[in-house]
Amino acid sequence: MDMEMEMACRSLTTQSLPDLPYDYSALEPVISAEIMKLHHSKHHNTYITTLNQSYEKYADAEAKGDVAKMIELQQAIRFNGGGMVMFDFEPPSGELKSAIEQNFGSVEDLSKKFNAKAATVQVLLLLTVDQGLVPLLGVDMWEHAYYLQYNNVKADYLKEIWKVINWKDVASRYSKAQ
Amino acid sequence: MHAAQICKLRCLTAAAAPRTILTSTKSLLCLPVPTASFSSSTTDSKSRQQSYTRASATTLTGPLGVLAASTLAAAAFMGSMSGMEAHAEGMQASSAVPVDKLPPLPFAVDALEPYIDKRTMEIHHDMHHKTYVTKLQAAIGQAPALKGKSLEDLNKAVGTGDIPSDVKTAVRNNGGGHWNHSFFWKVLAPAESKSADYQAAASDDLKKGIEDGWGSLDAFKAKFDEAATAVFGSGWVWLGLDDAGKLVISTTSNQDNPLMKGVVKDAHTPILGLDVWEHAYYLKHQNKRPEYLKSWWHVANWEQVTNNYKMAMAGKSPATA
Repeated sequence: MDMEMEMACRSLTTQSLPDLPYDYSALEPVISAEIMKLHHSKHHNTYITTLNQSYEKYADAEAKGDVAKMIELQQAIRFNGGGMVMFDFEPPSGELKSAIEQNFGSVEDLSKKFNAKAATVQVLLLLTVDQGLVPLLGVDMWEHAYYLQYNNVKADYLKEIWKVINWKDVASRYSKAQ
Repeated sequence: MHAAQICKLRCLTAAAAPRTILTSTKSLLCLPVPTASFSSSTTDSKSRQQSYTRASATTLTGPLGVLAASTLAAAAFMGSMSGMEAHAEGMQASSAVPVDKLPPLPFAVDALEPYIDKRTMEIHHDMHHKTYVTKLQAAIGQAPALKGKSLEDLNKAVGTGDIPSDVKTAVRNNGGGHWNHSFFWKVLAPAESKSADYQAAASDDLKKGIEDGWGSLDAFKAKFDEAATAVFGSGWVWLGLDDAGKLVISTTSNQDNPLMKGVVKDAHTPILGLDVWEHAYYLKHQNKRPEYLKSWWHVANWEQVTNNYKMAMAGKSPATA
């Protein structure tokens, strides 16, 4: 097993559901309050609960030397922890804008390319630096993220979501990644 | 970023990222997070280990750009084409939906109320299923070698060299989607109908098969629901007949199905299946998949499941039309 990952997983602590930095209705009409409430208080919350349970089970399995179980739980930790990292994302000028222009031409070109890919993806599409170690922006493509409002019309969801991207935070993640 | 957060990120992405990291170019990439299923309901920890290893080996190439997703698939299993053999012997097959047609629902859109709501049936059939049919046509349009193949044969060819590589994903997702939903509409029936009454509609053989496998109908449902709950993300749960003549429960991710011997570990002939994509239940149940599972049993079409079972026992395929 990856030693680095093993060491890192040992030190993971119990997580709790972070508050949203805004009201559930703040992203209307792009994302409805109903979706935000479900998405945050149910889906996100479940990821955290399951993640914490996985941590406990992992510590247990490790104490027993049950390597097969540890490997199995790595998956759960990765998925549920992934859920957490996705949601801790907070929604361009300066450095970030230059990087976007350098790599994609413009923000609009970025959104077009991103959306073309996102429409084919089931889970999450990330804008990242380098080989994916530092995510800057993520769009949730699980159906629960848009279904109550957009049904199967993903293209509309993808068009609208760019209106509520928090570029200030994307920029701050980008500069921290430098 | 705090040290703890960096640690978390490394932990969470280490499995997906290559060991060598390009640090010289701070380039921007659009990266899909690979979808993966660790939800094959068999207790085969070795296969799960294999899935995990495959995740670690996923490599991301190039300094920038939008990269292709790598969907984790279970180990390949090449089995015999029992359906084809049945055809060759001149046996009559079950009615099969044409590759290019959206089959009509066998009941009115509101006939499954209150267990599956009208709006879901409308969108599920008229939009989701229809889109699979349309996109499958587009894929076949690009691959003349696939023209004339039945929907079932297309599904069985997934993961083999019979499907040209430039359309293989499109055929897998949309050929799978078309077959799965066509099969699914047939194993649903209005709750008050005789078909939905297990005692009346299930054959003695089927009842015995279920009892032999799980002890009772309730025990079988519990196992099925357990598998359904464990599917992470989008997928399906199946009851089917394996090559040894045993009834088995399995799960697949996305629009894969047990016919796809080339990519699915637990290949078998399905006789009953349930869609657990969120679009199948989200309007009515939102995140509460267990509620959906409880509801759906009221509209399971045991008469069709019996027919599918008979067909499977005779080496034939389940009905899709």
